[in-house]
Amino acid sequence: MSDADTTIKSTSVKRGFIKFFYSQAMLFILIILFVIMIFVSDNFFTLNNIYNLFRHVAILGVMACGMTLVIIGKGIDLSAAAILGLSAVSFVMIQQYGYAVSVAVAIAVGVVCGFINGYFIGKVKANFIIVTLATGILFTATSLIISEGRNLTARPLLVFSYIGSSSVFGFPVIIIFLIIIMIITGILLQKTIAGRRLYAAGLNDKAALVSGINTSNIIMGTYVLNGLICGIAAVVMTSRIPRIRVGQTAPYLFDVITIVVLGGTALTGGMGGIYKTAIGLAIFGIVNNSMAILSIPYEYQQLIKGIILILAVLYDEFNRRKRLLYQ
Amino acid sequence: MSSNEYLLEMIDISKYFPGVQALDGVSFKLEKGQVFAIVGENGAGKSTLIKILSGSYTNDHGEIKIEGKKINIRNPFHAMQLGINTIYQETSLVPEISVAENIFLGRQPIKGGKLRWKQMFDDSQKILDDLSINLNPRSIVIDLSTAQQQLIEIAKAFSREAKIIIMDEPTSAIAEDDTENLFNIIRGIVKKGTSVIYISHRLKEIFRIAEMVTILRDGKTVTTIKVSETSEMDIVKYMVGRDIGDIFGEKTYEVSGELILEAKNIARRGFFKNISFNLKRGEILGLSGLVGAGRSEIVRSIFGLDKLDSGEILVEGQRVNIKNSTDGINKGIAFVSEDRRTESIIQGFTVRENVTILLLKEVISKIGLISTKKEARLAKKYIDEFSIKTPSMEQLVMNLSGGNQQKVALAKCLSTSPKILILDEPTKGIDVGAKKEIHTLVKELANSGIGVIMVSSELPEIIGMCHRVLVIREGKLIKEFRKEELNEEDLMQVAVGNIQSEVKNL
Repeated sequence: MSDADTTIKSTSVKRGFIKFFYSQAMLFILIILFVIMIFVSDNFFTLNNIYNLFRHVAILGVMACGMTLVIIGKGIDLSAAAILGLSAVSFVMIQQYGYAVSVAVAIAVGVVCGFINGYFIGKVKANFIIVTLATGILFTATSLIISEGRNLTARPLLVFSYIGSSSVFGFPVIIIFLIIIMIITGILLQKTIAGRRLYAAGLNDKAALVSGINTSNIIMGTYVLNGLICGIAAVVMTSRIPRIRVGQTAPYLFDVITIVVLGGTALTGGMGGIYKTAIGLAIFGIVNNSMAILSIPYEYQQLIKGIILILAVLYDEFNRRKRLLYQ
Repeated sequence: MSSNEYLLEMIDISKYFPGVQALDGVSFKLEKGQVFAIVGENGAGKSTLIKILSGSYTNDHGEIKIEGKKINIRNPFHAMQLGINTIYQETSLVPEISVAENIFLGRQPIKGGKLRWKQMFDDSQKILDDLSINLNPRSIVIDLSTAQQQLIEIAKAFSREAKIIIMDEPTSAIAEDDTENLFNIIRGIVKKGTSVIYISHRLKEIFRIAEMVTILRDGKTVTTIKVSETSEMDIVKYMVGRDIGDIFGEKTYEVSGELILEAKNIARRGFFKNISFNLKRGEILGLSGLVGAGRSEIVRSIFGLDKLDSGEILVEGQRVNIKNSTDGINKGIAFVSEDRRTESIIQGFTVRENVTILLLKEVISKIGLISTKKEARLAKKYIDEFSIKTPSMEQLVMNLSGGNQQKVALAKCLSTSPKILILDEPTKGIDVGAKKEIHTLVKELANSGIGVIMVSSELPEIIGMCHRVLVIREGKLIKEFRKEELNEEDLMQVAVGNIQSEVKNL
C-alpha cells in the first residue's frame, strides 16, 4: 500500500469518526448530563426519580411524536397545544355520556382540528406558520366558549385514570403508553410506504411529485395524525390531572417543539425521526427534573428552557451547513 | 511584474471527500488576459476545482499563488476581494431590480444617506458601453433573457475589477446567436487584461474562444495544451482515456406500426397550442427547438405535471384523463425531468431509497411493512442492471456524478415497466462516457418496444438518436422531420424561424 493510500484511509477513518460524533452529538450530551446529575444529586439516580422524570414529560413525549411527523414534512404545528386543550375540554364536557363516547369525541375533535390544519396547508398550500397560528387561537377560543371559561373536573374514569397513574409490576402505565406511541410512529416513519413518501416530500416536494407521490395528501396526513395524537394525549392527560383549566396547555407547545428540535429532526424537512425525538425527550426530561431537584425558581427555569431552544436551533443550523458541505 | 510571473498558479491541488479523492495533484498556470479552458467528464473534478478557487472549499494539499504570492482563499467573499469572480450556471442576480442595481449590488453610490440613482445608472451605462453590452441599465432583470442576464454577471464581475472571471458552462442555457455575442464580450474583457477560466462540455466552443486547455480525468490533470495544437478528437480521447468511436452507432432497429401514444390538439394557455402528434412502439421521437419554445411544457403536460387546457391524449388507443403524475405513472408513462438537482431524483435520499421509491409495494412483507432485505435486493438489481457506479447503495445520491445520478433517475422511472418513456434533456451536463451509456440504454429500451419521446437541445443527439423529430417554436409545432431528412442546419433554421416553412397539419 502506498503512502497516499494510507493517508486516505486514515483521513477517512478520522472523518468517519467525526461524522459519527456529529450525528450522535445529542446522545453524548444526554450521557454527559446524566452522569453530571448522578454526581450532583443523590436523589437523581433512583428508580423513583427516573420514573417521575418520564411521567412528567410523557404527555409532551406523545405530542412530540406527532410534531416529529409534521416537522419531517417541512412544517410545524403551532396549534398543537390548543388542540390538546380543546380535546381535553370536549372530553370533560361530554363525560355524562360515558367514557367510551367521551374518548371517541375527544379523539374526533383532535382529528377534525388536524384536518382543518391539513386542508389549508396541504391542499390550499397556505403558509403553515400562519395557518396553525390562526387555528391555534381559534381552537383556544372554542375551548373558552364551550366551557364558558369555567374550570372543569373530570369524573374518575376507571380505564383511563389507570393509564394516567397506575403501574404494571411497578412500571408506570403512562410510560408504557408513551413507548407504544413512539414505536407506532417510529414504524410508520421507517417501515411504511407512507413514511418513506413523507421523507421524500419533506426533502424535496417537487421531486416527490415527479415520483408520483401525492404530496398534498401526505402533508395533510401529518397534520391529521398530529391532531389524532393530540386528541389521544388529551385523554391521557385528563386521566392523570383531572382538573382542566382552559389555557393551561399553552406552555406545552414550546416544550414539544424544543424536544423535537433538540433531538435533531431538521426544521428544513425530510430528516430526523422518532429515535432522535426520544433522545430530545430524555435530555429535556433530565433538564426539567434537575431544575426541580435543584429548586431553581420558575422564572429561571423558563430562562434556561429558552436558551436550550436557541441552542437546539443553532445545532439544527449547524447540521444543515454540514450537509450542504457534503453536497 | 516580470514576464515569467503568472496571474494564477495552482500547484499540486488535492481535495478529499469521504469516499472520493475529488482532486489529486491538479496543477495549471493562468496568464494575464488569457481564456483558459478546463474540460473533463463529470466527476473529473471541475466543480471541486472551481469551488476551491471561489472559496467555497479549501484544498487539503497544494498551493495557490496569485501574482506570485502564496494565498489561502478563506471564503467566497475573500475570493472576490482577491479579484476572483465566479459566474455559475444559474445566475445569482436579484431578478426584481434593475440592471444597474444588480451591477452595484452591495456597493451602491451613496451620498448623505441617499442613494445616488443617477450616478449609478450613468456608471452602469459606462460599464456596459465599455464592454459593448447592449443593455439598458434601467431594465428589470426579470424581463431579460438568460443570455442577457449572463452579460450582466460579466459586467458586474468586471466592474468589481475582477482579475479572473470563472465561467461555469455559460452556454448551457443560451442559443447559438447569444453564444457568439457572449464570445465577443469575453474577447473584449480579455483584451482589457482580465483572465477567464472557461468550463464547458461543448468542445467546439473551446476551439472558438480558448487559448489554453487543461483536461482533467478522475481528479488528475491529464494534460495542458495550446488549443491551436490539438483537435476535438484528441481532447475527447484525453477526457475518457480511450477512443469512443462513433458516439451514436447505427440505427439498425425497426419501428413497428402500432400507435402507443396520440396527442390531439393539446394546448396549455401561454405555453403551447394545437399540438398533435403520435408515437409508435419502439420509436424514438425527438422534440427539438430553442430553450423556452415549449418543448418541456408539452411533455410535462402529457405526464400530468401541468394541466392541459384543451385537447386529448390517447394511450394505446384509449382516451386517458391524466390529472397528475400518479395518473401518468399508472397509465404507463415514465418521465425523467431535465432538472436532476430538484426534480428527477431526491438528492437527500440514498441510491437505494431513490431506485425503490416507485416499487415499494413489491417489497412489503407479510405484516405490511417494508422489508429491508427485499428492498436491498431490489435496489441491488437496479444498481447492477443500470451499472450505477456508487460505493454502496446507502450512498446519498447527491454525492454521485451527474451521469450516475441520471442512471439512478432512469432506473427509478423504468422500475414501473412503462410503455412510454419521456426524457427531457437526458444528457444535459453529463460527460461523454456516461452520455454514450445512456444513449445505448435508450436505444435498447426502444428496441424492447417502449416508445420514447426525447426533448434535447443537442442537435447531434437528436439527429443521432431519433426516428422522427418535431420542431417546436414559440409553442407551435412547426415541422416534422423524418430520419432521412435530418441535418443540423435545417433543424436550427426551423427552430429559430429563418425558413418560412409550412405549418404541419395532422
